[in-house]
Parts: sequence; structure tokens; C-alpha cells
Amino acid sequence: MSVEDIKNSTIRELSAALGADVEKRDLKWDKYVGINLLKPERLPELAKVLKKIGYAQPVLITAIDKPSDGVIELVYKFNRMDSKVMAWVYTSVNRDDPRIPSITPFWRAAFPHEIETYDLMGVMFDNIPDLRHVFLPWDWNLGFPLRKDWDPNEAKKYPWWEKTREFYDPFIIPSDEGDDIYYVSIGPQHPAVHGSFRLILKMRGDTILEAWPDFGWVHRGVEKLAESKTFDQIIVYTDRLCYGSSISWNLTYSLAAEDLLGVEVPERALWFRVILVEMQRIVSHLLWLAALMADLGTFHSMFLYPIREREKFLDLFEKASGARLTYSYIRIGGVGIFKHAEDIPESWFNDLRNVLTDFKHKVKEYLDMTEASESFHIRTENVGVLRGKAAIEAGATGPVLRAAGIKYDVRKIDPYLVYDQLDFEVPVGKRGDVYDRWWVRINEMLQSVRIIEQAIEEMPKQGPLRTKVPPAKMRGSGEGVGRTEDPRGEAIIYIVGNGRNTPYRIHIRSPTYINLSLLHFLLRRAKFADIAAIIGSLDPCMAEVDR
Amino acid sequence: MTDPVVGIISIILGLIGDTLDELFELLGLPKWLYLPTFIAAVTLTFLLALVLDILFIIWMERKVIGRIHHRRSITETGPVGFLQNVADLIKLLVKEDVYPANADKFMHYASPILIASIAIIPAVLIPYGPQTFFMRMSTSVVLFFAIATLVPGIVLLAGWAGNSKYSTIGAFRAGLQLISYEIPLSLSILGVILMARSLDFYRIIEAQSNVWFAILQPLGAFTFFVVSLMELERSPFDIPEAEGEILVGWRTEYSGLKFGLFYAAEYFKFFIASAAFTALFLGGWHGLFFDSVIYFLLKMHIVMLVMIWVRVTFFRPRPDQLVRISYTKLIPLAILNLLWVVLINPFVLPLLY
Amino acid sequence: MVSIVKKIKSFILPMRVTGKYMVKKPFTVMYPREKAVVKKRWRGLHELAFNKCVGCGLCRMACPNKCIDYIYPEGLDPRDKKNLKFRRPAIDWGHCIFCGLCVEACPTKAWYHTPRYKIYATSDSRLDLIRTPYELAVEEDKRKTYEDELSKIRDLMQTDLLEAAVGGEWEEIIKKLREKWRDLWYMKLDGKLDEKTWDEKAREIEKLVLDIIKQASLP
Ligand code: SF4
Ligand code: SF4
Repeated sequence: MSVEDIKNSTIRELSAALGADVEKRDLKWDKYVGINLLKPERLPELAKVLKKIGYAQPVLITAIDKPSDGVIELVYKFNRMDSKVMAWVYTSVNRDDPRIPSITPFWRAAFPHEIETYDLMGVMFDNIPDLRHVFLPWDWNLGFPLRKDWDPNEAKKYPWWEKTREFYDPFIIPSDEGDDIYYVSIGPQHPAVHGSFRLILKMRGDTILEAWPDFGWVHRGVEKLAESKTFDQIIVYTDRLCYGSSISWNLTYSLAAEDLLGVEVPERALWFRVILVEMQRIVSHLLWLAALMADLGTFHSMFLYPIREREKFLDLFEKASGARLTYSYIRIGGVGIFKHAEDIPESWFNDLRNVLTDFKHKVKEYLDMTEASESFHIRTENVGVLRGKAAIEAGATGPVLRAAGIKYDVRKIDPYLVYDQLDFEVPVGKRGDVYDRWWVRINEMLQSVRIIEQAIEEMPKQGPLRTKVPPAKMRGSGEGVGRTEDPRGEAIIYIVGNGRNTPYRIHIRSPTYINLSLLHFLLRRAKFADIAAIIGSLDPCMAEVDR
Repeated sequence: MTDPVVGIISIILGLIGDTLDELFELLGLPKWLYLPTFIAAVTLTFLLALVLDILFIIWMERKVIGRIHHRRSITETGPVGFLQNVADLIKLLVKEDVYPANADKFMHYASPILIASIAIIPAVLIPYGPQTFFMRMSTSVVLFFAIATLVPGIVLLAGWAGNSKYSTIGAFRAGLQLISYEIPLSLSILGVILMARSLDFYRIIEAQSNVWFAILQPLGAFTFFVVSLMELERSPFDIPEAEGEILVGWRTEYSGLKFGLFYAAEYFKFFIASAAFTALFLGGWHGLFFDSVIYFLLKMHIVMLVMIWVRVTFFRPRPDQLVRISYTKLIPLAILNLLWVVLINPFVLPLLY
Repeated sequence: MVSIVKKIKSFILPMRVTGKYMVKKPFTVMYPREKAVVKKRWRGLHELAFNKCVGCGLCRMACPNKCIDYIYPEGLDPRDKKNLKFRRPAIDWGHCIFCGLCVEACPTKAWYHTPRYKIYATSDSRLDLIRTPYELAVEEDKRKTYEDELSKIRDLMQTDLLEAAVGGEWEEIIKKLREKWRDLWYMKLDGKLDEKTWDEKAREIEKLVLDIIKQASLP
């Protein structure tokens, strides 16, 4: 079905089911279909229709506070597995008593988004199981930070230092029951959790009966902070979303901001962005590989080998951008950090070619250490299985979804930059276990090498890398969206502007946050020793989860 | 041919004796004190040698692991970083003694001491050279493994005494590990005992004067090697203290000197396991032109090197998989080895002794 | 048979990889002894070409962390619009994230990154990481800088005031005063003066100026 067909049929089905309560909304993008829902109570019906006609996940749910109109506007975005069409549903709820029925009961993927919206914006979702704070402390009652009239000084009133035991217990851990049932708390500091988050486990013997992940230990309020910075300054926050994939976030943000501000990017910069982002994918996957291998044993030898290769890529990044982790290199209007060090020398590409050749040999070594070794297979096969439809239903994206056997890659479905001119494959797993996630990521690295090699050849040799945007142009109103395939999954940054040089609202869809909330399913019936493997296979990055 | 090292050892013993003689004359001490003092002095001397060797082993381990990691490892303290372990030891000694509020105080303090002292006892049962051994008894192999089996019991106690969930899980994993390696361990040494027709380490080593048992029964050697890795609780079988899963398992609540004692016990066990492998399968002191302690030590350290090498190469199985491996793979292997021994026994008889 | 070969391979192949690295030369650098080489574009500690800077204020505006502020030469009134061009950026490296936005904003390339990367606080206070423009200035620039600075200060603080007030007949005295002022500055720059004596000497000059004003019977 073509884009137009899907759009038309969506509108048709919706108006058939909901009558006059829905109306078409004109969006500035042709590929997305906009829908105004006039009665928020009817949202579940609308969502059910969308689900029926092939929309796969509520990929992003966010809220925009509009005190002048006295409403909170909710934006729901539904994606499809087979097409780039997204349905954007807009609805408004009363600001004083924001209530809307939840769609979690029949569409699990909405759950993390909904509790996040409740947490930071204070929208009450009816019928949602377990509505609680995720990023804010569990007993927070000092207002909802993303509302426009919230006073940041309010946060100082929270008695951070007086909290002792209860502070660390968002879940009151029940004392151990009879029948061999006991509770274990993992984290917030624990080698298996890669950062800081907590897992409460209900166990019998060595088997996990139930698991509850608990995030928010490194919440910094990036979305709120960004509202007070100019468009150019926000780039430094996107670096710090995840140190493992800062350039990818730079790109996602730049795409969104360019969309909003109407900035054109030079042809050469598009190709160079592809090279940088694919390098970042390799770097991120190498870091993930190292962390997973460290959790599985081998006394850190398989930890240090990928780290060593990663170092060579970081050297290249350093050579181009002047930093090793927080690059701020992809900027609004193109690529480049200083006016006087903007272009990229030919020698850099030669270095890159050498590093890639070396890297391909090194991947063979990793395979010798892992694929060939039986000890690796027994640890990863049939562990943490999430397969097919269940993975879509639960909201997984990125390598986790592809390992589950779904061929869904934003680079293919909704090509950005110049991905439609490049030749690459999307590796897809079969069983959806830890081993498949490992396999998918290893093959993605090899595909990235392929993409980079093509891009080096086809990139224009001459030309500017960046269009200068004068500060006066750095203001925009309307909406902007950047949708990319982050190393960890589908990343979306959604910006709303109101004509100022700072965004009115910026929402970041963190793929790991959604993927990690799958732990509730993945850990059920797993063994205690599998925790490290399962968490590691999801590639968590806590800074990105908590934002 | 006599072992040249024996000469050196007798010189050392003579020196100790002479010094004690002079000392007793000088101080006018009673005669009956002489024998205990002599024994104590000799024991101390050999303990010192053992500690030096352990220091060397730790240094070797850190260095080799560092190299395998493609990095340099310790370089700063002393020549090639050799004194780093001494510095670490001093650090452990001066650390504050932390003791968890709800722990069982007696067991919490007793278990490190117990574990370190029991782990070293089997060392006296092994003959290191044709003339260099502490004792000879007809059932030394049995006694050796009986004592070695005590250690996981104390581990269980130590983990329990820590009174934390992580250390308890670690302790029970140690128990699980014990039941999974005990049977293949006994089965794999049975082959050696059958072939050598003796329960005495000395006789077993003598039996290998022409050809090592590792060559005659490779399956047994392999099983024993894997099983001793399990017994050592070293990676890949470091299940009771798997770092990424349960912190450091049963040792979680122990710090400072208590940790130091656990650490020492780990290396005592390492020493003993590789010595046992050398004695049972690698022909002990038998070497090229002459029989000597030197060969024994050399082989022992090579075994250690391989164990370190294995440590950084393989992935850690899950506890339940460990039991499965040992019951479905190692026990059949060991039994296969037994059958093999029974089969070839008549033909290899002339090769022995 | 195939499975047995596979089993054996599953032991041999990983051992081969680790064994290979056991005998290879390490990849790491002995850091404090071997210098870590950073690339040309490294966004390290900032430096200021004192004379190139025009005090435009763009670097402060660009900074997302508000860690740049301006310092005026001693004695200049920051509220006076005329003095804006004499201000120079001071930076708090404790808050800086070395993002390079300020460097990008600087129109005269007076403000740039150096490849230096070591920075530390010697006390508990983060104030140690604040650098004044004089500390940030390029080494060769420094002496010249202060001469320039000096003349500016001289011009603004004394000449304007005095010459306007008392006319040409005090020329000799004013000249001496200038010289005294300059010597003092140099001594301070070379670190020969501690705070106390600097204060004393400065007060002396102040008194002299006041005396002159008094003698000239000015308000
Ligand atoms: S480098 Fe970035 S954070 Fe540091 S002073 Fe410049 S703009 Fe501010
Ligand atoms: S350093 Fe550059 S940007 Fe900053 S005030 Fe001086 S000239 Fe302006």
C-alpha cells in the first residue's frame, strides 16, 4: 500500500468508527497523518481502530502544557512496521484536572510513555495498572516539573538528605515469605545494571518469579533544562543523553531542529553524517559487546578487546571533532565544530579505511572467542526469549525487536539522510533470545562497515559541510521531528516552538527506556544468573533512560 | 641419581641446626626444648618459601592476565611490579575491620582463619621430590582429597555468617558446586590409582617414571583438570563469586585482613590443585636427565599458567548448567576413562615403575 | 565425528586468541611517562589572545553553562558603556564542559582551545578552577598586554581626571605618577609584590592624587 492509501484508509476507518469526534489535521509532513480527537474519553476506541488497521506501537506519547488555553495537549504517535506512515493523534485535556483513559490495558507499549507523562506532566491515566513516579522520587508531591508554571525552586524543598531508608524504597519490599519466596534488590549500584537502576526480584530458589525495574536514579531533567537554552546550546545536552551514542543523538536533535527552523543541509554534510553515525553505531555496539562479555565471565578479556577497537574509532572522532565522547559535532545546518576547523582532511578518510579493515579482522577474533566457544552458547541460547508479535506489543525497537524476528529499521522504513541511496541489509534474528540479540548487533556492525565504505566512496569531495544559520534565524514556531535509528532503537526528538529562540517543549523518546521496561517480561522465570545476560543484551544506557 | 636440590635443602637444615645449637649453648636452654624448636624453625623456613612462591604465583597471574588483556598490568612497585603484592598485603593489613551488624560474630571471624589454615594442610601430603617430602603414608591420596573437600563446607559457613542475601546465595552456590564436582573428581583419580595400584602419592609418581599418566589416560587428565578448576572456584567456574551477578558472592561482607585470608586460601588451593595434577598426571619429579624437585616445581607452575590462561578464555556457566555439565559430561568421561584404564592396564604394566 | 571436532575446536579457538595476545606487545600507553598525544582539534583548556579580544561578549552569550564572565581592568567602572571593550573573559573550568560553543562564537579568534588537558583543584574549593583573563592570556602576550592595559588605565583613571582638572602646569608630577604606577604594575606582574604591599603602595598613589587635587583646589 502506498503512503496515500494508508493515510486515506486511516482517516476513513477512524471517521467510520468515531464519527464527528475525529477530524483530519494538516501536518507539514506528507508522510504522517494528523488526527484531532475532540473527545479525549474516546481515545481507547480510536487506539483500538488504529491497532486493528495495522499500527504497531504507540511509539511516542507526550504532553505539551498550554496554560494560555488552559489545556494540556497530548500527542500520541503510532508507527507501522511496514510503512513510514505515522498517525499523530492530538487531543487536549483540561489543565486543572487532566484525565484521559489509558491505552495500556490493551496496548502494553504505551505503558512507559504514559507513566512518564504522568510523572513529569501530571496527566492522570485512568485504568492504568500501577500509576506511579518513574523518574521523580516515589513520594514526590511538589508539582509536575514540565508544566510551565512550575517553579524550579520547588525542587529544593524536597528533603533529599533527610531521607534514609524509605528514600531507597520506592517499592516497600515485603519481608521474605514462606515457601522459599524471598526478595532481592539489585542495584542501584551493581555490576550487572550498567549504570544505576534498581531491580526488585521476587524469587523462589534460583528462579525469578517477578521483577520490577525502577529507574530515575540519574534523572537530570534534560527536557526541562532545554526549554531555557537556545537551539544551538541544546546540542550539548544531546551529547550527554548517552555517552555511548552521542553523535546519534546529535543527529536526531539536529534533524528535529532543522525541521522546525527550516534549515537546509549541504549535500556533502548528509554523506558525512552517515559516516559519523554509522561509526557511532559500531562504537556503541562495541561498548555493549564489552559490557555483555564482562557480565558473562571470561575475566574481562572479551571486555578489553572490543574496548581496544573502540579506542581506535574514538581517536578518529577526536581527530575530527576534538572530543572523545561528547562530540557536539553534528550541528544544526550540517557538520562541524569551529569555523576555522571545519573541513575534514582526506587523510582522515584514509585512517578510517585502515581502521575498518583492521576492525573486520578483529570481528573474526570475537567470533572465535564467542561463536566458536560452547561456553558462550549455553549461556545465551534460549535465555530471555521475546519473540515476534510479543516484542512489538511490548514496545521493543531496534536490535531487540530485530532479534525477535521483525524486520523494522527506521533507516529502511523511513529513510533519513541518504540511507535510501545506500546498499545494506538489516540482520534479523529468529528466536529472540540473548544469543540473537548478540548476533544481530554483531552483524549490524558489519553492515555499518559496509555503509561507511560506500559512503566514503560516494561522498562529494568538495563542498561546504555546514550552512551557517544566523542567530536571528534560530527561532521557529510549529513542530519539528527527528526520527532516526539509534544504535539502541528508534530515537525520536519532537520539538515544539513558539517563535522564540528557545524551544517551547522538547520531548526525547529514549529507546532504552522502553526496551528496559521489557525486563518485567524478560526476567520472568529466568534464573538469577541470567539477569546479567538479559540486562546486558538490552544494551542499557541509564543516562539516556532517565534523561 | 640423587636430586641436587636435596643437597641445598640439607645445607639449609644443617644451618638451622647449627644456629639452634649455638643459641641453646649461649642461652643455656634445657635439652627437651630442642626438638620442638627445631621443628618450628624448619616449618617456618618452608612456610616462608611457600609464601614467596605464592607471591610469585600472584605476580605471574596478574602479569599473564594483563598480557592477555593486551595491557601491561603491574609495573610500578619493585622490579617489574613484583612487590605490588606485598604492598597490597600491607594495605589489607592496615584496613579497618568492618563487621556487619547482624552477622554471626564468631563464625564471621573464625571462618577466614579456618579456611586459610585448612586449605594449606594438604600441601604436606604431596612428595615434591624423591627425597623431599614431609611424610609418606599409604593412603595419602585419600587423606588429601578428604581435607580438600572440607573447604567448601567452611565457605558455606562463611557465606552464612555474612548475613546478607548475596553472600548466602554465593554460599549455596558453593555448596552446589561441591556436589557437582565431587563425583567426577573421585572417578577421575580412580583411574590413576588403579593403574599405579597404590593410594600413595609417592608410589603414583614412581609409577610414572617412564611415561606420564596424562599420556596413558588423557581423558582422565582432562576431567581432573576441569574438575580442579571447579574446585578452585576460579573463572570460568567462579560461580560462587560471580562478579557480574552476585558481587563477590560469599565474600561480599568480608574486608581487610579477613578478605586477605580468603585470598591467601584461594592461592593455597591453587597451589595444591596444580601440585596434585602434577603428581597424579604429569609424573611429578621425573624429568630429563635426573629426578629433581625442580622438575616438579616447573611442571606445577606450567599447570598454573594453563589454568590462568583458561581463566581468561571461557564464559562462566550458570549454576544449574554446571551441575548438568558435570553429571552429563564429566562423569561419563571419567567412567569412560576408567574403562579405558581397565582395558589397557595389562599392556602398560611393563611401562610402569 | 563432526560434533567431536566442533567440541575440540570450541576449546582450541578461544585459547588461540587469548594465547596470541599473551605474547603480543601491549596496546596501552604508560600514561604519566609516555605522554598521551591529543589531536590538533582537541578541545582542551582555553587560552586568550589578550590583544585580539574586543570584549564583544559573544562568548558569554554562547555558553550553555554560563561559565564565562567578564572582568574589567582594575579601576574601570563596569557600568560605563565606554569601558565595555576593555573587559576580558574569565572562565570557571569547574563548570565548563569543553563544548567549544564559545570558541565558535568568538569573532576575532581571540578565544580558543589548546591541547592542554590537565586540570586540578588543589583545595576543596572549586574556586581553584576559575581563571582570570590575565591567567588565560598567552605567555608572550602577557607583558605587552599589561603595557597596553596600563596605558588604558593610565589614560582613563588619571590623565583624564587630572589633566582635565588641573591643566598643563602639573605635567611633571603627573608623569612621575604614571611611572610610579607602571613600576608597581610590573612588580605585581612579576610576582614580587604581595597583596598587602600592593594595597599600601596603591593607597600611597591614591593619596598623592588626592593631594594634587586638593592643591589644585578642586571640588
Ligand atoms: S567550552 Fe562550552 S562550557 Fe566551556 S566556556 Fe565554552 S561554551 Fe562554556
Ligand atoms: S574572547 Fe572573543 S567572543 Fe569573547 S569577548 Fe573577546 S572577542 Fe568577544
